[in-house]
Amino acid sequence: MSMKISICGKGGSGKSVITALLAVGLKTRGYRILVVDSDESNSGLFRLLGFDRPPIPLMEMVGGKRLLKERMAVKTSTKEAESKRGILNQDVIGLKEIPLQYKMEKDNLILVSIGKILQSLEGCACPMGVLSREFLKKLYLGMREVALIDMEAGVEHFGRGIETSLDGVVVIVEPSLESLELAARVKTLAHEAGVEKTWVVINKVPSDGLALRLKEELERKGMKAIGQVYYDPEIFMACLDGHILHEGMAAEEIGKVLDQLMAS
Amino acid sequence: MCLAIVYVNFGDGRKEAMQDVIRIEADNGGYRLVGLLGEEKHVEGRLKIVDFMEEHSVLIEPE
Repeated sequence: MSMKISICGKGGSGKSVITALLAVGLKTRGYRILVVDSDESNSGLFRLLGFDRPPIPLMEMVGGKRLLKERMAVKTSTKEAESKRGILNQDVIGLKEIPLQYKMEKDNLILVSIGKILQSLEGCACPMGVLSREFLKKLYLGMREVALIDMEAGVEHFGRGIETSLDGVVVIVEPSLESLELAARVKTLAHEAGVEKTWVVINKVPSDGLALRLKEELERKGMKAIGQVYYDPEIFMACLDGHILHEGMAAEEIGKVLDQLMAS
Repeated sequence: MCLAIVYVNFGDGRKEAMQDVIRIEADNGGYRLVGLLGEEKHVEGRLKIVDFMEEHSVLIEPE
């Protein structure tokens, strides 16, 4: 099996945590995982995955925003422009072809980052959206390779067409009405974008009773949760301290979610 | 999406010249288009419409 799956949802719902937990779970099952950090605001995903620093963003491959501006003013030949684009010039990009400086890699787990907004008044994140869309379109996965894309909060990425080449969307729901309503919108948007599957995972659940209530609310909105992850003080502290989420954390709950993802 | 899609009018339809355009520059009676990933193209014609709402589209019409 090979799949490209995005993880999306409301801000603070736990997209990065679930992305990291799914990555750890898949790695334990013998998969090779590419995690794509497509969130232009938050920058701590590398810590949750156990890396000591983030990779150089792929935006730098096209020159970064500052160099892009400089380059725009100078006419270049097609050959010059192609050489600057590196692997982005290729029709297909395999995991091995991603240059070393643009990825962090350890034990079958690879992390790449699209780019971050770092300065005020630097402009919008649209170029990062385009880069994300183009990279994912060209990304080729072999057998037992899975790409998990940690999306920016909200639904703007649907407007940018990032989902067009994905196999599925996992929407994270935390216990709030906003989150439930956003999940329903994500389901519609994903369908409109031509994404075949939308799965719902409930996160930060404090009790079985509330898990049941959220499942009922989702069913009323025409959605079925494929699993839930309980509020875990250990995960909370790892996020606060910037530590790795190791394979023992929420292992049973994530295992059930993965069983459902694989069966789809 | 803030990046533009440039179309060129022809007959009763329009043809996409380039997607994800980050710069359009008057150039030798036409326009030089630069794409996000570094691609460049020259199109002949004159600017007819720039629509900031509808997919940030730019329509160029042959003279």
